[in-house]
Amino acid sequence: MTPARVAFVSHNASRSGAPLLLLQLQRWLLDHSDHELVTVLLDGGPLEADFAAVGPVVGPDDLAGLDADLVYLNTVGAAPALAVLPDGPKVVCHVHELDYALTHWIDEADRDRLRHRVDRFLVVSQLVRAALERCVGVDPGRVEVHYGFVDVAAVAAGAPAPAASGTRVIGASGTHVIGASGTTEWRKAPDLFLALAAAVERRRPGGEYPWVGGADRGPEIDGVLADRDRLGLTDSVRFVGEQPDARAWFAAFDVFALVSRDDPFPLTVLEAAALGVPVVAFDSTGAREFLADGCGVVVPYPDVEAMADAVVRLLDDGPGRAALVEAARRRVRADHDLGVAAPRLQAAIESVLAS
Amino acid sequence: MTSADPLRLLVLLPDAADDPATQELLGVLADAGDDALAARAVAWDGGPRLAALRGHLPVSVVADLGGGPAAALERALLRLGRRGAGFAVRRRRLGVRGAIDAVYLTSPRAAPLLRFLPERARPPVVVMVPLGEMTQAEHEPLSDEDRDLLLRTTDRFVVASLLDRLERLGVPSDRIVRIGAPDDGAGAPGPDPARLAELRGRLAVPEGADVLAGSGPLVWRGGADLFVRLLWMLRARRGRDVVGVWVGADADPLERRQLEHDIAHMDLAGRVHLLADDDADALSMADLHVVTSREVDAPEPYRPAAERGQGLVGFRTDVLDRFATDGAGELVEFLDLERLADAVERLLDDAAARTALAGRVRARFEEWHVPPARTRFLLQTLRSAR
Repeated sequence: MTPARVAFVSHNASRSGAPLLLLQLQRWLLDHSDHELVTVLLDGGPLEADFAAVGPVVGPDDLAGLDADLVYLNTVGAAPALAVLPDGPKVVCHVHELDYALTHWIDEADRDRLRHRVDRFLVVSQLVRAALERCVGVDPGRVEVHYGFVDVAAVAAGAPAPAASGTRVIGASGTHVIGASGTTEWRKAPDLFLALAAAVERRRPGGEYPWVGGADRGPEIDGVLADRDRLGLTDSVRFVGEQPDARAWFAAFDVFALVSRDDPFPLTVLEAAALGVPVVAFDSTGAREFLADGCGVVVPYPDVEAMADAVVRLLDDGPGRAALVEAARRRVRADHDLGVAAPRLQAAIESVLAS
Repeated sequence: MTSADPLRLLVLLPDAADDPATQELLGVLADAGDDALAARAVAWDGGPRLAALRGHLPVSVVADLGGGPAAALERALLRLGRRGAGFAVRRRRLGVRGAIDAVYLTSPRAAPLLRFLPERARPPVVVMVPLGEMTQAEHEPLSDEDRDLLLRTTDRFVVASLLDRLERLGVPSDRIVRIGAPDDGAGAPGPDPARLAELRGRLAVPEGADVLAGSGPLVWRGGADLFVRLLWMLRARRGRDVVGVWVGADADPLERRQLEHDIAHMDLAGRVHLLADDDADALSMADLHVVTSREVDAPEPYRPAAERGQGLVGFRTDVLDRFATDGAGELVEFLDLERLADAVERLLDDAAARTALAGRVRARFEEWHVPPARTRFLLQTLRSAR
């Protein structure tokens, strides 16, 4: 393949799923292709230095004069860039969004540009494919599913020590630990995590419920914290904010609970699977596609009681839990490892370049 | 004294300002009637409503005692919590001597006037805490001496804001009487049948479906998210044909968008309706009123049910717990949607229980909020203060 100049447009450089996945893809391409990589950050974030280590980083003011053979929009949140892009380059859009974002985060002009300007849509789950067709009206023939991935070996490397918070070590007292991770915005549903904790406590008191990532206080989470305190769960349900090594927390979880209302294909589920932590999730997320066939437990959204039942079953059923963990571990290695998924994405990019 | 005798009441008020404390007193005086009340009053200062008050009862004003140095010294000493040489004279001139069945302070701000009361054989003291007064008190607190005097002397605190935390000031709960602010919307006539039929048609409420109502802002404290989840639970988990109408969705566009997303993803489209206040008549379609609010002050959480003669089901929050004493509401533990769904189902299946509950809700509401029932309740509290 003739080396090409590929410009990756990211809506920001936050430590969240889409920018992290992009970084992994860029590093892969750096090692496995001769393409020249440029990153356009529409907004900043803690990963800016990581992007700069891959190649040149420019800002939104450089979009109009962008010299590239292919522009890779990393999310539909980067769609506003289409308004100022020059006509020449091919365009790929990697879609990590479901109905809510497709409807409310971009406007009709953005959706129109997506329909008419993008050559290929790479989506992270079948659920996203359906949402893209439903909310944006994209022709299904231009859509390919490329599930999210993690570097399984890196995630599972070593045995992280149990995570500590303050003077306490999670799970050290032998209690069950039901954990969650993500930002604390409404879509990720910290309110339902609290409801889940209350429901599990009714069945099996004495658990710990850490939520890793997002805010540990402030307007986004204050309502949930107030509810938590009124439920008497102040000591057991803890929002610990961003952590330098989330793996250490995940490794201490007995069960990973994905309580999101809307989540296209969360990488945290893959990380939990790589660490041997069983996952329960609502069927409103793309995680259901990974968790199918005995790789996890999926319950109808927003059935918190059913999720609590599933959690308690996983705590009690040693053999069933082991089988589920092993199936998930096999699947994440087979289908969602960097070494498997990144070459497929590279092939997709190069097929658009060649078209 | 029998209940038929007029209550000999000494009213102490901080001033005759046009504020909730004075309005509250004027309302009580108007509703009580001369047969029930033989009252006189002492105010620390005058104000624009003094004439209106004097139309109902004699009012002495400390500030009018005279402008001489002795009076000024007396007022200063009273402010400092001490009694000067002219105290006995002032007391007589203010008219606080003689037979008194009860003392009624229209506000904690009248606390300095408690020094005029006899220290022996002191009549029972009842303090009204009007809406917003405790918030104000936190910003402009009484002096330590006045606060001590208030707490030491008062037999009953009557609290209009049910979110007030008098306990924080060290008041034992058995000295606190909960009541609400006067509510002029009570007994509002329901919509005519044609309007209800129009609403049922517009909302496509199926024949035979049960209807649950909720109301309030869409923001977190209003609890509309919990109402939607309750509807999901009843329909999806329990198979009930139930429709929800939520009134108060005029503002809060972000929360509305999020709720609409949930309604769609819970397969509740056309089964849960978020309506503006203009469509408040839709509340009258309900078989039950469900209060899922987290923290909304009285009377908002229970007024819709009381006005419409509906049963009330909700979470055990401060406000509802106080209102629903003696069965004026079916309450479950905070945020326990499973138990809330149980209570709703039980009542939907028992029309007689629903009707009885609605009656208790209405009676409590009138007692707390609707003049003159509210005034009767206040007078009863004054009579039985000790």
